[in-house]
Amino acid sequence: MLVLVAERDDGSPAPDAVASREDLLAQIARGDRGAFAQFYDLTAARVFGLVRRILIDEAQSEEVTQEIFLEIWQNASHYSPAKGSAMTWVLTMTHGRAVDRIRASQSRRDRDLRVGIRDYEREYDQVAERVEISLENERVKKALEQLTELQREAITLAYYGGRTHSEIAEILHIPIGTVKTRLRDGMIRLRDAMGVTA
Amino acid sequence: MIDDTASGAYALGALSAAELETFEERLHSSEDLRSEVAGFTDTAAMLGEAVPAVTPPAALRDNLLALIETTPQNASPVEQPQLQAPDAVTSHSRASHRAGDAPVASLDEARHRRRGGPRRFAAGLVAAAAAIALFAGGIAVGNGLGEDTDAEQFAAISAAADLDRVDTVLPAGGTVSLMASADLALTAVVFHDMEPLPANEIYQAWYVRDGVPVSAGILPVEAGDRYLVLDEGYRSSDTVALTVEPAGGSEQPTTDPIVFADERSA
Repeated sequence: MLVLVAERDDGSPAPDAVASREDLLAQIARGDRGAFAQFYDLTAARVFGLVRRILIDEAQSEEVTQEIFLEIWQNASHYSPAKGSAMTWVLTMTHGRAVDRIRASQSRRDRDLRVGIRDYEREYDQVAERVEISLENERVKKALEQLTELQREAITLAYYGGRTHSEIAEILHIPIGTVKTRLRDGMIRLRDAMGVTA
Repeated sequence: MIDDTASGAYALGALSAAELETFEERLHSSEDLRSEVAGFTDTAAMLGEAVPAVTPPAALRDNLLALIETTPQNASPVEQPQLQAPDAVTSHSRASHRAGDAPVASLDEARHRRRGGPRRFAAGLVAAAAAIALFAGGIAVGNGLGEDTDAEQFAAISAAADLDRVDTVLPAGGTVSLMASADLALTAVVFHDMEPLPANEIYQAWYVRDGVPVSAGILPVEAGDRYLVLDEGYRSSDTVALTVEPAGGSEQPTTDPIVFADERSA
């Protein structure tokens, strides 16, 4: 049974948590299972939410979420604060794993490519809708509005649709070079609009 | 063709596996590209956070907690050493090379090869040289993660925008990471997975200049990573060496060392 988590998670630790996510990862790297459980409780809903959005399928989403946390357990030592925040590390891994699963399921990709334009429009609307109703994400929503529609659709297809840029080129009937440029220009705008400093 | 304009696609996960490899090679050689990708990666993570959070079934949590009981963890990754392979040794030859001064192949050998009396340190060195420059700085020699000053410095190095890091596998096992920040003028030497020592022995670090070692401090005995922030006693022409000593440390090294050299003196 799925429970929608109240949209209050802004990335800060739960009130009664003393350790930050970064600290917990360091503890997990030393084999601390209690820290792992704490880390799971702080991040699992975020991870599962993203995986579900990308994979749609419930069972696969659970599998991939489990894979991700197992990888966090195994490779916590690979994380260091120099790499960025713990959530960035986790979500980057999450997105990567979800996309791997998409790429691995050949039949879905082929089917989706045949569906083409209709499919991407559906995905784009879904995301736009979710961004509308997701209260905590004013920042992202406003930032996305700063992109051109073409940039928004390319980024949506890539990030939330898990498409390769070749697939995006096919779906949109544009050259691959154009896709790359839109993705890059879009990310530049998004990055600047959200105040990310490299 | 994958060129730098693929940075957005890369950060969004939109490159194929083969393209990924090519692009990542590109990343290794361009700091500007790395910087751009870092910004995009943070940005993409925010896209991830835009999706509503959904709590997974409780069974997932139970499964994981059970799984980690029997799942081993991996040590931190080791980058390709810029210089010699892990099992290669470099011995510095001297005019009066003694029979017993052959290069040390393992920490065991080093530990058992106790020196009789004071003599030149340069004999029988095993070089695990580093490809980054080491900087002097800091306030105190690192005593481990308990020391505030050292921990702050170490954290600062780890978070430095210009962090330069090289990991080297030691012949006897374990990894040494050299982490340096030119901006901060600080260097930390981090020892991972070092061979555990008996209770009456410790690792001691040395600055070696002109063949003469000066104590740089004792590394704590607790398990896990240990690190040393090179203090102002360090000079850029020194080599940093590690030996096994009796608890409490020694005035001079009593065992053959493992050393890490500054690239500028190597």
